[in-house]
Amino acid sequence: MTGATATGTTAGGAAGAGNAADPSVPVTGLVNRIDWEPGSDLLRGTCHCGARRTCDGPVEMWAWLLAHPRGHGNDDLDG
Amino acid sequence: MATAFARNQWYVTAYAGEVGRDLLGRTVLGEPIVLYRTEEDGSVVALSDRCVHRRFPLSASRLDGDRIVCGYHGFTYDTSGACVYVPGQQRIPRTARVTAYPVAEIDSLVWVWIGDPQLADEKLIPRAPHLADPEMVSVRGMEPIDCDYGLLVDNLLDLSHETYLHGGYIGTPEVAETPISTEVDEAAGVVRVSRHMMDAACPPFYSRSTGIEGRITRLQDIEYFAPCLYLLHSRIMPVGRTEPVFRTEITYAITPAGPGKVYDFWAVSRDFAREDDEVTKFLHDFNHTVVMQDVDALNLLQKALDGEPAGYQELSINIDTGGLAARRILARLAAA
Repeated sequence: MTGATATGTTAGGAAGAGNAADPSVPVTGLVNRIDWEPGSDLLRGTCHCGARRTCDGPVEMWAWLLAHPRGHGNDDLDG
Repeated sequence: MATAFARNQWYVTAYAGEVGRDLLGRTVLGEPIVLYRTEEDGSVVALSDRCVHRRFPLSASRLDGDRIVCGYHGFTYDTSGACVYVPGQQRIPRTARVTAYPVAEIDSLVWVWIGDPQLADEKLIPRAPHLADPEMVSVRGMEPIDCDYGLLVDNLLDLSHETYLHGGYIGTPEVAETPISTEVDEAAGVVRVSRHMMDAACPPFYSRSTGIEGRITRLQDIEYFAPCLYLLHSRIMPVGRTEPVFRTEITYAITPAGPGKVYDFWAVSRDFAREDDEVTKFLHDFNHTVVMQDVDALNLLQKALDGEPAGYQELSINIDTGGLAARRILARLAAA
């Protein structure tokens, strides 16, 4: 069971593979994103509107993202 | 804190290969369903698994052609659920009908629509094309778990548990240590969680199936299509290299059977060593062991939760970012 040969996709095709390209999957474009900043405990949230915020817990971050646009006033808007 | 059921949704009820001329009983969202395949064209039929007469399970009955004959008193149903025969009399009561569920057979999965049949739209079914891809080899199984289905969703959205619950199998220290990125398409009900480990130990699951002996780059990209389908797109390659890429698609269908019960459908598909039966057997047996580790843990967790006072508290940290999103989406779908 050794020396298996890999086939198929390249590494660059890994993220979002599969259904992401499937036209049957509804995509609204309203995507909220939370990145855990490497080397820290901080979370960086990006609202679908582009507003960003950093905090240290997912409960607080989701509450802020879902409150859109409430609470966005004091944050740095991105684009 | 039971997770509410989301109706008006498609649920995986069986693998296509499980459904044939033997009657198969499953329960989805508390609704008993009997499945079989017709002689006429091989299509899958899903009917309520209770005879209208005395509620006898039709799955414990028999087929006569494409009709089910109740094993208790002989009430007979056609593929639409209409009763076409009752014993000893000519008149068939107008209410003698069992529910026929909309069914779709896609990607080697049998999906059943639970809810208003007028709303059933096959285009809403999320896809797992690798399961039926001739370029991939798949192993699969199903394990019932005595737990709230939300516990299985939680389990799969946070793979940091691989390090602890599945250490020595699929877990290595890097899984729990590596930060994740989470994307949520709220309206579409899709959660994506990515964990990219650029320099990680190779767990036995991959070293023994690929032959890689050194450290690896390990990319985990989850897509969860609430409420039922979960895909883990796994790519590994020797560290510092961009190829060869070993692609593994890990599929779960999370189908609530009833309160505190869930079907854990699992499959592992690969694009390497496709002709190697030993690898196929290894991945099946090894992944089954991993699934049973989850089954044991979730059975235990549910028992512990059942003993907790109402309103018990939890603590969520960074690793729970995706799981929290999934919980919220499930609550929204259930309330719709």
